[in-house]
Amino acid sequence: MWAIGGGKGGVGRSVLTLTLGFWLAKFRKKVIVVDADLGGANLNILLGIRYPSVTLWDFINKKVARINDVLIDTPYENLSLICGADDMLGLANPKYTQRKRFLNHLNTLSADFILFDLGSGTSFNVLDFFLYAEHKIVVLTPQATSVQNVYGFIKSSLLRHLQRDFSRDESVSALITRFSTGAGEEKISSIGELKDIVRRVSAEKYLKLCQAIDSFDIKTVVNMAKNAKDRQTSKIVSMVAKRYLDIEVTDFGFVKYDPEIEKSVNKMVPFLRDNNQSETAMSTYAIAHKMANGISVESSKNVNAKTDWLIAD
Amino acid sequence: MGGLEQRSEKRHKICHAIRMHIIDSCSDDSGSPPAYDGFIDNLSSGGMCICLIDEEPPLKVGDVLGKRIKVDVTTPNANHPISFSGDVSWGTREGQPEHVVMLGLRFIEMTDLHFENVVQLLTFDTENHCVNHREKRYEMSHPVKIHIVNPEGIRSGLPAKYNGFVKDMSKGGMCIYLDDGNNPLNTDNLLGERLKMEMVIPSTNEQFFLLGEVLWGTHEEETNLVRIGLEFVEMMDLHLKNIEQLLTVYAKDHNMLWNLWDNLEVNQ
Repeated sequence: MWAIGGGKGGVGRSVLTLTLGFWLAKFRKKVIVVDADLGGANLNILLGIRYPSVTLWDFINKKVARINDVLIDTPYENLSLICGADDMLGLANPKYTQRKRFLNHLNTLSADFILFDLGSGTSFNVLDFFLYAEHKIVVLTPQATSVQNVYGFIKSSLLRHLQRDFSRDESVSALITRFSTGAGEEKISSIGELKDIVRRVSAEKYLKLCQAIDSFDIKTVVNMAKNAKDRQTSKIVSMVAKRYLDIEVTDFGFVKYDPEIEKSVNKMVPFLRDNNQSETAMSTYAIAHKMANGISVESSKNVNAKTDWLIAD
Repeated sequence: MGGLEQRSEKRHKICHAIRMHIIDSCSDDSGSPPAYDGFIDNLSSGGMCICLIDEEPPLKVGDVLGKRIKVDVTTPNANHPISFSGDVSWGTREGQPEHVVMLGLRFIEMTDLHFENVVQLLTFDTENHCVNHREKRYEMSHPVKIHIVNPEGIRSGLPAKYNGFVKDMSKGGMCIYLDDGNNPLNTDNLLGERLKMEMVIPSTNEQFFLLGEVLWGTHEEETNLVRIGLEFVEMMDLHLKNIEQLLTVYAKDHNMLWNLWDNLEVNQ
């Protein structure tokens, strides 16, 4: 299960998700693309499906019993879609129980790859879906606003991840909140400082904290890169994340800017359908290739099979 | 090597001298259990991987599998040796030098003291690796202009000026990348050279300089840049104040983010 997220809207998450799904399907992998951009769903449009017969709303509203019932075949072999629904009041902010049911049912889907196209922002819905996936990609563009947003998204995700692990430990949880909010007399300005404080309190908690941080694996993709300089923007994020969040952020590749993508979006056809030899296509191929070869099918099926860690709102 | 894939704890690569005793074995003439010297290769809260030198008596991997062993670790900052006990879960000589055997050990005592010991070892190792850096280093990516100030160096053919950026910096020294472009540098010639580094503090736009001596240098093929380590010399209070000001700029995550953003173009 792969989540494709990032703080800012308009960075090309949906197009990238679909393009990666397209490639993986071409690699003969069974792929399900889930439009988890609740409240702003549009993956179906990118596939030319203007009026989806069923959407996530039908599942969340219990019109259908199984998540399988909202799977839609696409015109492309091995590629299926679960549509979001962008005009349903309430779907943008599903309740805790609805979220839990949705994630539990996702595990019943049979696929080699499940790709989550997440919405923008850092709401708990977005973060919980993001953290649920074993593999996490954040998408940024070579713009100052995007760099800032992606860093903020990574930081929020890490803190949510830590809050989840220490939800029953009031003292550590309070320290995480102190770091998160910048509150308190002695400010905690980095995860390194947080670790130092926890280490003085309890060696066991310190090790648990280190393990929780070490298990937080995240990858960046720079979208719409026009030159070598643009590709370097992910390094800024990884350097700051290393220094202040004590995590390694992996540079997972870049996608070359291509005005043809916008044309494809407006034609409502997947970009790769007519452009699969372009430089941009090749840069997405490289990312999909890493996804296909980096993990085994078995390991991707058995991730986070429980939703016990979801924090009730 | 069956135990490896079952381990969920993060393993930390460290290197500590140890003495290992097989607890449930008495095979030598004196009746005391055989002991072997070696070192820890990596450590987690649940176990460790150790390398043992077994010239005498030779150690048969099959004989120790499942056996309980005790590992004594001596560190300079501990009054008493730190000890761990555990069961050998795997062992191999494959890929090891002659007379070296690698063993995997699962800890059996998970007490507070055990966790304290693990942390003490990991903490010591972190400090130990920084032994040459008396001051804390701060990662950054800050533009710098470098001048070779030693006339002898210039006479020996080194061009006088270079552009570069600071990779990390402490109050005692810095690591910088130099773009030697059309004037390829022999890093050996740089050793011991005295350099003047000109930098600007972004928040005030104030220019300042520092003097340093080259301690080491290397040419990185990947970036085609020269990386050098310098120790500051002839430091005055004013220099320290300037360094502190520059470090302050990088002391908040968003400050660092924006400085890296500003410097992105410079570093290309």
